[in-house]
Amino acid sequence: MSELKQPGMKPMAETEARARAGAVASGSDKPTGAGAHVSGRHPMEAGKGAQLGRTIAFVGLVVLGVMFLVPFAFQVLVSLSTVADVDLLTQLGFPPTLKPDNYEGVFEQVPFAKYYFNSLFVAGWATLLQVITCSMAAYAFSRVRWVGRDKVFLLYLGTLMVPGVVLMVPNFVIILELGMFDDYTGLIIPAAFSAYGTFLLRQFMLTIPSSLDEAAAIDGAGHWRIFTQIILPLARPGIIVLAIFAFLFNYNSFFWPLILTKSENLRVLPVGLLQFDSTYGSDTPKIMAASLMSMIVPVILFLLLQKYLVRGIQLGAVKG
Amino acid sequence: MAEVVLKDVKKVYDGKVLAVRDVNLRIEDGEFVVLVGPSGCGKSTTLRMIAGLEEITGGTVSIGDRVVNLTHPKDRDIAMVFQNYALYPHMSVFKNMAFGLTLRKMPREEIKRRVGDAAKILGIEELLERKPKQLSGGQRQRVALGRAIVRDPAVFLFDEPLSNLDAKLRVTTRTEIKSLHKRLATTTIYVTHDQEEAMTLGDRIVVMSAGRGTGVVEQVDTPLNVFRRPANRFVGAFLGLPPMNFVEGVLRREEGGVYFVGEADGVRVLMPEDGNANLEAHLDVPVSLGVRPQALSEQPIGAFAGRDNTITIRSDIIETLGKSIDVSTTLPSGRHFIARIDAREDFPVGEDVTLHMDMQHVHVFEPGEFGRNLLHPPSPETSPAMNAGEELAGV
Amino acid sequence: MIGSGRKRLLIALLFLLPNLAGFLLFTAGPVVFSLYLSFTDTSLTEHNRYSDASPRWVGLDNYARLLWGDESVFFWDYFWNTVFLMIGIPLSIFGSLALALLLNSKATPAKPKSRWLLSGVAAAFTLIACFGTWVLAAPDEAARAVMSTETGLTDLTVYEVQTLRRNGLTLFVGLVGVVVTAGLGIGQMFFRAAFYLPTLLAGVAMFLLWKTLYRPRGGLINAVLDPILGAVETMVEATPAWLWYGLGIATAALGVFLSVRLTVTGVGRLRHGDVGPAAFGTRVMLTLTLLASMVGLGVVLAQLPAKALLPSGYLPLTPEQSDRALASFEGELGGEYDELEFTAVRSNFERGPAFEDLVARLASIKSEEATARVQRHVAETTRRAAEEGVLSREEAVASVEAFIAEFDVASAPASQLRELVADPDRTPQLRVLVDAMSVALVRTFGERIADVLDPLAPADGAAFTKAGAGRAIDAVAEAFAGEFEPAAIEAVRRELTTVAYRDAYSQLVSIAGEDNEAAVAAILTETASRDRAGLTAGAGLEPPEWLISSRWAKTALIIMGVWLGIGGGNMLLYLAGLSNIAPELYEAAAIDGATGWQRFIHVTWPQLAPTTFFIVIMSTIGGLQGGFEQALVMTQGKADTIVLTYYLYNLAFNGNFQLGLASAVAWIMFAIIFAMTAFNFRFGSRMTNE
Repeated sequence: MSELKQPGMKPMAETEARARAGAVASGSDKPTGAGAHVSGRHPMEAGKGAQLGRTIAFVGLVVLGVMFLVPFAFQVLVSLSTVADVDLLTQLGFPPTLKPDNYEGVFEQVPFAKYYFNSLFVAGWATLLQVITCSMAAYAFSRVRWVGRDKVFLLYLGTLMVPGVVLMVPNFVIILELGMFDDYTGLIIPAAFSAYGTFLLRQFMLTIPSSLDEAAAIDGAGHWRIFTQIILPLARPGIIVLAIFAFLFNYNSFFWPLILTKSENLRVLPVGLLQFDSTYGSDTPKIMAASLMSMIVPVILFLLLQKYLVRGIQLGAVKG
Repeated sequence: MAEVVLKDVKKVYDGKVLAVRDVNLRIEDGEFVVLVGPSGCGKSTTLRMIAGLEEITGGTVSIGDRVVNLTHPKDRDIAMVFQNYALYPHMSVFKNMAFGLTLRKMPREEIKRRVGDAAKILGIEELLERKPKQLSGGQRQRVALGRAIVRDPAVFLFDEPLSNLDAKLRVTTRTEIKSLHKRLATTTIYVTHDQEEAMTLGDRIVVMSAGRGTGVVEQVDTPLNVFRRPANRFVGAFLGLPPMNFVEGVLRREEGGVYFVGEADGVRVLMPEDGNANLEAHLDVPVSLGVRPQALSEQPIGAFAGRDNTITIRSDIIETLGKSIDVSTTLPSGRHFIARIDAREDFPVGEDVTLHMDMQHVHVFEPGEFGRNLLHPPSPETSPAMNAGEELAGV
Repeated sequence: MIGSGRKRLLIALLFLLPNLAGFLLFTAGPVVFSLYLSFTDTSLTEHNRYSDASPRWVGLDNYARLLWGDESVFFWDYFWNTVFLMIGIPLSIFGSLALALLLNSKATPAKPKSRWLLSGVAAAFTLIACFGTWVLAAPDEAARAVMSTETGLTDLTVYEVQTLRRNGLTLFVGLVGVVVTAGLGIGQMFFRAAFYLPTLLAGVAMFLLWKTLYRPRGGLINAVLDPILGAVETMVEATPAWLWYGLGIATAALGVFLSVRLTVTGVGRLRHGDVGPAAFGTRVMLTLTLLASMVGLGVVLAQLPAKALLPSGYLPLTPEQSDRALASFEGELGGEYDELEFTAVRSNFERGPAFEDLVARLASIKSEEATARVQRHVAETTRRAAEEGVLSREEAVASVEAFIAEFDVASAPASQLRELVADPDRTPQLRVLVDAMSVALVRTFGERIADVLDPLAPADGAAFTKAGAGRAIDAVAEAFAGEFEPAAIEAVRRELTTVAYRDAYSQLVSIAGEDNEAAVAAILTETASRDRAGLTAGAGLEPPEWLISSRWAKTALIIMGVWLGIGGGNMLLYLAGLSNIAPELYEAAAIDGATGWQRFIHVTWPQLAPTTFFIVIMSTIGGLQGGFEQALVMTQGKADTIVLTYYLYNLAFNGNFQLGLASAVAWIMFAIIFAMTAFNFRFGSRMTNE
């Protein structure tokens, strides 16, 4: 496919004019990338066929959009019902009695605020530590030449291939032996490191030209200064992506907290929700309310940082 | 019949951006026409409108005697060769070439025959089973050509096909394209920004520019005519390497005739008597003198030799090119000036030399980038700009 | 770079240290450790700091136990579960591709101006639509006093039901409107965000939501399925059965025919060298899928009459029929169920209503009539419409007395009425008075019915049997001949004296086991009355019970998995892939004459091959390890949903903490994953290179 990506000698201005002019415009059913065509009497889409196609596509999008959002709407309605009315909701479409104090009730029945705090605390620290350790490691792998660098990196890569199941048991034992069981450290420390994060940042840093380092060295900067003042700022997009991934992963992480903690005041949201469900399983409205509350943080994060997240996934795969 | 006629064609993007306007062309059956111009002049846009890849905002395009504005590209009986080859990467060369025919449900034997013939013409028979990524750039381009040939269309369209090739390959492929055209005699419309390609390939060339706020056609004629009688300063500057020199000055009537006087650079040249009446109408107003580098010589040359048409410059830099040398200098006015003269030993460097001009390759232009050619204007049909009584300033 | 080799090494290690430490401790080390563990019989209950025992080396013993030894029965069962759950993966991948294509189709307006305009219009429309719904679906005022008769809703008045439905409908209309407005205003990004939402919120919260959605009675899924299945039932009921047999056979035959044709064409093309072996392989896979689907569909269609025949399953079994059915059941399946449970079922079948309930039920037939009569009376006596406001106390008292006199109200209800209007401080609203009077009328009537029933009632306050209730109802109908509408009496008779076919079926199956379903159906068939002779009876098309049913639980998880994953990372990858396709390819294809579909097959799909390849590999790796969290949260492993990872968890953390065995499971899984990845790689790169 490289042939098609050869830097075209095509004069910039023409492509530019097309791109400038036709930012999107309703084009054909199939994507046309940069330089799209204007709608209307385009011979490739002349006729009602294409216009109809686009309308159908929009309708399809709306239908799917509604289908994806309806469960959440349902969840909100359930969270506002009384326990007795939950089963009737689908026949009625609206709770007979609105009970917004279900939300308060969640806090009364379980230490929900603590769960929330725990999740944010653990995720926050894990993210911070991960960013620090992975960026430092990525620096070592990409900007310093040292004996055995590539072999060690290969080792890192190799472990990416190992399925997580294999690590379940031994990590449990190790945490136990280290006395980090049922403690914040047990949740944070193992998550403070990530081979994937190192890999991601290294790939990112590789795109920074080494001439910058060299110029700085000539100016008298040592490694640490180069790292903090040149590389880190330039690698910021990658770091943001890693931070988002790490935070979301740790916030939603269920399995590790499940096996690594026991006491109630160490519970994180996913485990707490599960516990809530097994104990008060019949109180569906409260469970739904609790779930909804736990969804707030990721949603806000997503809305603010959507494009970084999207870019990050695509980045990760392309390099993969 | 496969002539292509463009009438008042114009292209507007998004209701606002005017990319190309007033394109009127008549391309005869079997002709090889090249659209040439700098970036942004609308040549690719025009080609794509002919192909059906762009909507035609105004005017009509006809192929044969059908107006094809709303016809789907596949029904226009055209074939196109893209700058990036656009070969289907997962198909073999054979299948790439056969694709269009397969879609048209041609019988398998017929397809085989056509592809085989085309492959033979292009010399790519051994490559038929390979995939594009196993081919070199030149080979891929030939496959792209082959794909166009097998369709046996009424019109070939080329969109800067040689831009991705290295210099040497470009030249050889150019020749191949030309001989292909001779052999197949299909109407061909070819877009390039390289004026050398345009000059060597085209039966006629269409010079387009972007300078007047949008893409327009400056001149349409045979390469030789466009070269010899550029419609305006832009065309004159665009064609020819090294590019035409320009000296600013005025026309004055003095005893002996009409002189071009460039006081800043100390230039004084006598205009030929059979000079255009236009010269008379432009006395004592600023004009530009255009001198092709090849029009200079140490000896008097050309029809008006020895008649007060010399220029004295200081030979700042000499570049040897084998049979000729390029003498470069900076005129007092700050402009650059290059003369390409026959080589001789001991050509003085850093000294003043006096060179004679061949007045047949010297032009006088109105001021401004698109100033019309006053001395050797082309025939009006070839240049819409000459006809239109429009504002030509737009500097 | 800077500094000498040794210095560089030192610096690198310094930078690397925290990360490397974590790596060795939590990743590299554990891998080795895990391998070691798998060769031992480590078990935390035996080998911990309080015991003296230490783990023994057992070599390949663990593996042997898992693969063909005493644990193998579990292992392979869970392995099969894991694989089964992976069926959703191709669906999910194609779905992601479809969503990406849809998002890329430029269906949303692009120019900012048109976006504002269109979304503004849409917003206005939404408001109007919501308002319109609110107004048009307004509840019926007259229904304020009538209780709803729909199952489950009998505590609400019809008015309330209508109000709630109106609210819900307005909300739904609003939701659709918001989606349209946002779609037009924000464009592609809005839909992309909506599709990505499930992936973003992945985890326990989502699983809990779906647990609610999957509730058999109150869940959204069945709420949507129910009417659909009901419609199918009606359709089947209305058409002759041979139509469906024919349709089923035709579909299956068509499937076979198409498959054969596709294969033949494929072979032909292969031989002529038009396509390579990998493309042929794809064709074979697609053909097999087509064949399986169409034959499957055909089988389902052909069986529809059998399954759907008794439309609502409410066909009643009379007491005599119930007795016969129970006797056959005992005879044929005796010994395959618990006697106590059978006794309970029998008493369910026999037990009828209590005396008071029968009286009330019969009396309530008259309630509408009563209300109407009361309203008339009140209107006449007070010269006011029944809904208007409040009477003065004198008026109220007068009206009540007149009422009692005219209708000869029984004493108990009469005194209650008098009490109602006696309080000088509180005069009741007219509406309340009307209601109370209607109730009084009904009760009066009820007393008359009770008089008729008294001799027939069972001794010492026991409830009627179903048979007894039937006789009682006959007596009442006769005594009050002409006062009851036959249809109403019939409805009561049906309700109180029969067992619904569906209930009989499900009760018997629940004690006899699902394996005996067919036998139960056959037994009931012979005894139930039918209007359509010669056809076998089914239980009606019921929506499945999903997470509770061992037949449907895994399917439920698959469906949820698809919903959760379809708009996620894969979709984003495809979007990126699509935007990387050179436009010239499409242009060349258009000039060559390809239609939209052909452009997809020959340009889009091949260009996306590397992306697809990557996605398939990652999905396989993920799929073989997945399913644990879902199963834990939603079914706790019941209904046959345990996957390998869950098995591992159980071994290691529930019960005996058998770490050695669990580690062996992990490594077997590793081997499987490795093999599948290698296979995918080999197979896949040949496909991408074609």
